[in-house]
Amino acid sequence: MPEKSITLEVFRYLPEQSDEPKYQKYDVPYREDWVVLDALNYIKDHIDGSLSYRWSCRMGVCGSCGMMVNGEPRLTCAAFLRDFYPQPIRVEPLTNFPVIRDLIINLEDFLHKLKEVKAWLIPKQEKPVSEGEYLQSPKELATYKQFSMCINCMLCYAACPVYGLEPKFLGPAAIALGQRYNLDSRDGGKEERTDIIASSEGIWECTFIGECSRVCPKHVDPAAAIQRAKVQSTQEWWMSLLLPKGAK
Amino acid sequence: MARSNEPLFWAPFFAGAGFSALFMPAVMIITGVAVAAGWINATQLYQLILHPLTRLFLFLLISLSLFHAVHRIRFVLVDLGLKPFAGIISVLCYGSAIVGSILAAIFALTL
Amino acid sequence: MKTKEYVRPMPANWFMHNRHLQLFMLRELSAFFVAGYSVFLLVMLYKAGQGEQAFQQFFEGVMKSGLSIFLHLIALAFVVYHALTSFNAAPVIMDVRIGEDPIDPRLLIAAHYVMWVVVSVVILIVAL
Ligand code: SF4
Ligand code: FES
Repeated sequence: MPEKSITLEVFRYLPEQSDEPKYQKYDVPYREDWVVLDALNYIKDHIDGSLSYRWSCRMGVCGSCGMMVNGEPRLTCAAFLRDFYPQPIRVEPLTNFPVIRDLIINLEDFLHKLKEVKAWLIPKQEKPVSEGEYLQSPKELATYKQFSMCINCMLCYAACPVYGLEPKFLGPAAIALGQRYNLDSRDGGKEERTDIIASSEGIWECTFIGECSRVCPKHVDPAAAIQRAKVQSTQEWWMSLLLPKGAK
Repeated sequence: MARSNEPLFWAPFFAGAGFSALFMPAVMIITGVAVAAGWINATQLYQLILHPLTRLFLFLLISLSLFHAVHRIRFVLVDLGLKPFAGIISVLCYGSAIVGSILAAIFALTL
Repeated sequence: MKTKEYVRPMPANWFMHNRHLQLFMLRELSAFFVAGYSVFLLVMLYKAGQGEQAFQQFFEGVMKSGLSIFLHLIALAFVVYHALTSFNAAPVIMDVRIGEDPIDPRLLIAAHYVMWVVVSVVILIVAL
């Protein structure tokens, strides 16, 4: 019996050859336990070594293998061929990002936004190492834990029409990560972060479509982070309007 | 970067989302289904509207629903490609909600 | 060396891309019906202000007309959809916890549905 196979239609963009991308078809062996990334690796090793894409961990941790699989942003190391077989699978680079080559996108913009939102801990009070760690109860951890599960895979950006329409939008993951630190009991950087999160290019661009949370492989729920930030920010805005300056 | 003044509009948008979701379908059943079916006649509905609590309720429903709706309409129009007109769209949208609210207040007070 | 990057523009019909975006657009379009019905209520209030006779004319001539009933039914469908999507969003907006764990989102949604039905029934009983 001939070996079963499945067709991959892969987005190819080779800037030194053409300004326009094309779709190239590859027939790869079909294995029940293979994911799309396995099929891409098969192509690269056995059919066409010129195909370029990113990957690293093969286990949904590094966040580098995100691509559009039949129009849906997916981690290719977690997208099983068996969910598509025998239909062909179309593989494209993540939408809403510029393409550098084949399946590789330019993620400069996202890295810049992570920096802008100060996605790191800003201690309330720096203390010398000799005074020990910054302690936190399990309950305090629980308030932000979900938002800390992000692996920076950018699937949420690819899924977000608001980001596609307005690239200046801070976007789901950056806001969720900003909130992750804002909600951290050890953190004192909320004021600085809010200046960007509550700016017109932050949460207020969001129309609560919810695609970010639907596609997130780590159940971070950026949409929740954003909507809750809207509520909180609105409360603070009205409070500062109604209360005299300086009063807290 | 400066914090946005969006909360000015977002607060009534959000309040209107809840208010219209909770109350509007029931009110529509009264002015639509019940009227068509004859469960309520003109005099009864008129008396109902005259009640001060009904007037207050209708004012809130009209005003908050308008603020809710225009906020969404503003974003729909912008996201459907009218971004170059975002400024004028905002003025028209919130402007009509404000005018509608003032009219509702006047009508409710001068019954 | 930096090579030329390929930029894919958003298609004008981006909201047709999948069922979720179509439903999102439906939710946003419901706003037109929320606004439209608010304007209707405004007119009704105005007519009531012109006295019982004017209101009676409006009631018989406009509100009882086939067109009004038809529009009411269509708008009702959209507004009910708007209401459902609003209540479904409750667990996203509110972070309700018992101890460390968030409560089951379905519970929160169900509570909103129950409240909605009770409020609606009360309104109908009081009004009719
Ligand atoms: S929020 Fe989720 S989808 Fe977005 S980058 Fe983080 S893990 Fe990926
Ligand atoms: S290869 Fe690391 S997440 Fe897929």
